[in-house]
Amino acid sequence: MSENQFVEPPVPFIDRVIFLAKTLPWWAIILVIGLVLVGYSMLVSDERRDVMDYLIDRPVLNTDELYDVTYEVDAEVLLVSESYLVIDAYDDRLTVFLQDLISREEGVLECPADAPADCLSQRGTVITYRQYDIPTGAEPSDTYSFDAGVLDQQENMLTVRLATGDTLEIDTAWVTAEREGLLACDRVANSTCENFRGRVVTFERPYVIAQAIEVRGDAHIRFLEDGYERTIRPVFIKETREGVLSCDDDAPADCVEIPATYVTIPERITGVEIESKRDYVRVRVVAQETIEIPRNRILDINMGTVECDEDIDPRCQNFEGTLVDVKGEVVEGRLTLEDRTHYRIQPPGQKEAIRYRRSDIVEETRTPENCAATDQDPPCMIVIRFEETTLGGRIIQEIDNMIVLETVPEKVFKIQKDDITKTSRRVPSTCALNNPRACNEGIFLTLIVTFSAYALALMIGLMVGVGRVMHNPVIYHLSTLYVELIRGIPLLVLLFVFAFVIGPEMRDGRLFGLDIPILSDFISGFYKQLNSIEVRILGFESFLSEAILGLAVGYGAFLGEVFRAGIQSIHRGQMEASRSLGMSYFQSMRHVILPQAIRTVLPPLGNDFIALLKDSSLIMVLALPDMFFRGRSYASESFRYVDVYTGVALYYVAMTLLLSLIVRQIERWARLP
Amino acid sequence: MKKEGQEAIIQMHQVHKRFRTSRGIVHALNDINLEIFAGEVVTIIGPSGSGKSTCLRCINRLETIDSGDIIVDGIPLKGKHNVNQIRAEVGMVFQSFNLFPHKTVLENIMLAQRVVRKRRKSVASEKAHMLLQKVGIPEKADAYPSQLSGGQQQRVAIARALAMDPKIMLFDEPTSALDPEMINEVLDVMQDLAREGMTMVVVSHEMGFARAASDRTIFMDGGKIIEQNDPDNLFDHPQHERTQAFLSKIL
Ligand SMILES: Nc1ncnc2c1ncn2[C@@H]1O[C@H](COP(=O)(O)OP(=O)(O)OP(=O)(O)O)[C@@H](O)[C@H]1O
Ligand SMILES: [Mg+2]
Repeated sequence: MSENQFVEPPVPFIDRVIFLAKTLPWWAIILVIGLVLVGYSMLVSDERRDVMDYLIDRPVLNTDELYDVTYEVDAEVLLVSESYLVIDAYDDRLTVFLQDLISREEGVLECPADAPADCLSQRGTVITYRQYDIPTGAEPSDTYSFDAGVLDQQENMLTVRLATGDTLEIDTAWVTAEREGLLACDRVANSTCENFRGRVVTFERPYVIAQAIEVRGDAHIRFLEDGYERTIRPVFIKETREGVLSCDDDAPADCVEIPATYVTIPERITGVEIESKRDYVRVRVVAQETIEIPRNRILDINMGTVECDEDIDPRCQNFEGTLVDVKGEVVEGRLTLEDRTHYRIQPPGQKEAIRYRRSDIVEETRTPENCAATDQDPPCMIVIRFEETTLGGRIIQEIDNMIVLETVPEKVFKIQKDDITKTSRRVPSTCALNNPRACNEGIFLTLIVTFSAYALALMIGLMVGVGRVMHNPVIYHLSTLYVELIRGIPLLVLLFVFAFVIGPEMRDGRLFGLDIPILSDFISGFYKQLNSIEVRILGFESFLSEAILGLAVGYGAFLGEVFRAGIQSIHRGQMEASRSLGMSYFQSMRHVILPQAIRTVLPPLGNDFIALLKDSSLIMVLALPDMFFRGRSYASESFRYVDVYTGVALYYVAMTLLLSLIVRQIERWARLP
Repeated sequence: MKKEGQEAIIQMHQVHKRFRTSRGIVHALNDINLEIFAGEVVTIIGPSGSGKSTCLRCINRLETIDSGDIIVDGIPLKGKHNVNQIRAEVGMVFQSFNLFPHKTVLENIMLAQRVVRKRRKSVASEKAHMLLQKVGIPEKADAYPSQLSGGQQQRVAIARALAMDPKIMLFDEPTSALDPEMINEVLDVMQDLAREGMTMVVVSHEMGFARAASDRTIFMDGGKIIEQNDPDNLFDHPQHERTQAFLSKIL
C-alpha cells in the first residue's frame, strides 16, 4: 500500500471557479458577462476598436513625447557626397562639395584686398576649393574636366546633363573630346536619374581657387532599401567601404555598375515599440506635417484611408484618418513667407497670413514677375489657384476660422534584435507606477487621483471624525467648522479654489492670505515637492496635486461625518471598559473604538470611494488628461461621440464594478464572527 | 471594620456628585464617607437609582466628583495625577461585560497589558492563558466574545481586569445580566478571588455571595449610605427602616 492513498486529491480547477462564481452576487455575474460581451464586440468591430485603441494606446501620434524608445542599428548606407559648410572672407555661408576640394588644412584666412573694412582675418580649418562662378574681371586659375550628355545645342552653347543629374549650359569652346555612348548617373545623382545614352562630351570648365573657413562637415547618405536621404555629421560614420552600386534586377539593359562608397552608420530608429518578439521588434515611427485649412474652403469631412505622399517622406505609410474635401479656389494676396514646401499669403485687408502647401497649388502668378517674399517695395503680390482636392490627416486643432490638419505618415520598422547595438528609452515602456504614461494613461490617472485623494480624505476624515466626538471645545468647533464649510462648497468650485487660489498662494509660501515667515519656506518647499511628484507622474507641470488636494478636502468632510457616526454607534461601555483598564483616550480610540467604528462604516466608506472615483472625472476642468478628458478630446477630433462616450462610460462602470467587488471582499474579511 | 495599624486603601470623604440633565439636577452621591481596607470585600446593595454604580465609577474616576476627596492607594484622585496609572491599579467589571468584540478572548486579555503595562507579547499571552485557566475557560482562548455564553463572557471580563494585576477590583452588578444557571460560575470565580485576599467592591444583590464572601455590606439609597454592617447582621437585623423596606422587597 502506498502512502499516496491518504493524500486528498486536489480540487479540480473548474470546481474552484464554480465555487468562486457562487460567492459572487447574481447581478455582478450578469454585469461581468455583459461587459465581456461589450468588450468583445468592441474588439472585433473596426470602428469601435479605434476608440479602444485610443483609450488604450492613444493613436494620435503627433508629438515627440510619444516616441518612447530609440534603437541604434548599424546600417550600411550609400555615401552620396561629402560636403563642408564654410564661411568665406565676405562672411557668406556656402557649401563646398568634396569633388571641388583641393586642400584642407589649419591656417589663417587673410582678408582679400577688396574686402570690407571690418573684415578680420580668421584662424581655423582653411578650405581651398574650386569655384566655377568666376567673378567678373578675374582670371580663371585652371580648368577641371567633366563628362556630360548633350541635350541640346544652340550655336556655340550646349545644354548638357552631368552624371550628377544636374543640367548646365556650356561653351562649345570648352569641349575637349566627344564620343557616342553611355553616361551613367553617379551616386551623387538623385535616385530618379536615368542613365544617358547618346552624344557624350568631355569638357573643361574654368574655375578660380577660393578659400574659406570650415564651419561644419556633412555627409549626405541614402538608405539603400527605401531611397531615404539624410545628412549626418561625418563623425558618426563608423566604417567606409569602396564598392559598386549594382543595378536592380528590373533595371533597364543599359544600366551600368558605377563605383560607390558605402559607409556604416548607427541608424537611430525612434518611435513606439508595438511588438517585441524573441528575435525582432517592430517600432512605429512617425513624421509630421501640418496643414491649415480655412473653414470656408471645407466642403466635407469624412473618415477614411489617408494615402501618404512619398515625395514628402519616403518612409510614410497609409493610415486611417480624417479626409477633408477642400473647395478649389483662387487666392490673392501678399506673399509674406515662402519655403521649400509652403507659402504664407496675406489676403488684402486681413491681418493674418494663411499657410498654403505648395504642392496643392496648380497655378501661380506673381506681380512684379519673379518677385520674392522678402521684397518690400513694391511688395510681392501673388495669385494662386487650387483645384478641388481632398486632404487627409488628423485634425489636431480647431480654431475659429480654420482647422489644422496633421498629415501623419507613419512607418513600421522591423528590427532584428541581433542588429541592435544600443537601446535608449526616453521613458521606460514597461507599465509601472513611476511611468504611468506607458500604461493605459487615462485610466491610470483616474486611479491615481482616486486612490491618493481617497487616502488623504480618509486621513482628514478620521481626524475630523474623532475631533467631532471629542470634548475639547477648540478641536470640536474647528472640526465642525471644517465640515460645515466644506460641505457647503460644490466640489467643482472647490477644485477651482484649490487650483487658482490656494495653489498659487502655496507657491508663494502663503496660506489663506497669511504670510507667516517661518512657514513660508516650508509651504513653498512642500508645493515644489508636490510639483516634482506630478511631473514624475504626468511628465509635465499640471494641476494634479491641486486637484487631488481639492478632492481630498471635499471628501474629507463627508468621510468625517461617516466616521463620527461610526464612532458614536459604538456603545459607551467600550470606551469605559477600555479606560478602566488604564488606556488613555487616544489609546482607547486606536485599539478599541476605531477598529470597531471602521468596521461599521465600511459600507458607507465604500460608497464614498466609488462616488469619488466618479467625481474624479471633474478634474477634467483643470485640463488633467484623465480618461474622460482624453475621450472628450478624441471625440471632438473624430466626431465619434457615441462610440467615445459609451466607451468611457463602460470603462467607468468596469472600474466601479471591480472596486465594489473589492470593497465587498474587504467587508467580508472585516466581518466579525 | 477597621483593621488595626492600616491605612484604608480607598477613602471617600464627603463626596458629592450631581448630574445635570434636561429634567433637572440629580444628586447621585450625597455626602458619601467610606473607608475600605486592603483585602476587604465590600458589597453594596440598594434600590435602582440609588447611586451604587456612580459610587464605583467615581472610585476609578470614570465620573468626576463635584466636591469631597477620594484617595485610592494613597493617591488623591482629585489631583493632577495620571488617571490612567490609577485606573490600571483598579480593575472594573461591568454588568454588560463590555468585552471588545473585534478581538479574541486572548487578545482582549492581552491588549491593556501590551498597551499600558508594555509587556512583551509572550509574557502577556502567558499571563492571559494563566488567567483563563483560573476562570475555568482555557479552551476559549481563540474564540470571539460573540461566540461565548454570558457567564463565559463575564469570566473573560474578570480575567481581563485581573491581567493588569490590580490592587482593587470593582464589580458593578456582574451577574444581573446572566441567566440563573450561569450566575454561579461567575460567583465562584469571584469567591476564589475574595479568598485570595483581593480588595473587592461588589455591587450585587446576590445575598448568598454577600453572606459567604463579603466582610461588610453597605446599603445605599438616594445617594446616601444608609447603613453598613457585616452581611449576616445587615440582612438578618436591618436597623434602618428603609433597609428593612428594601430587604423585604427583594427577599
Ligand atoms: N451619565 C448620567 N447622566 C445623568 N444622570 C445619571 C448618569 N448616570 C447616572 N445618572 C443618575 O444618577 C442616579 C444614580 O445612578 P446609578 O447608575 O448610580 O444608580 P444605580 O444605583 O447603579 O442603579 P441601578 O441599580 O439601576 O444600576 C440615577 O438617578 C441616574 O438616573
Ligand atoms: Mg447601576
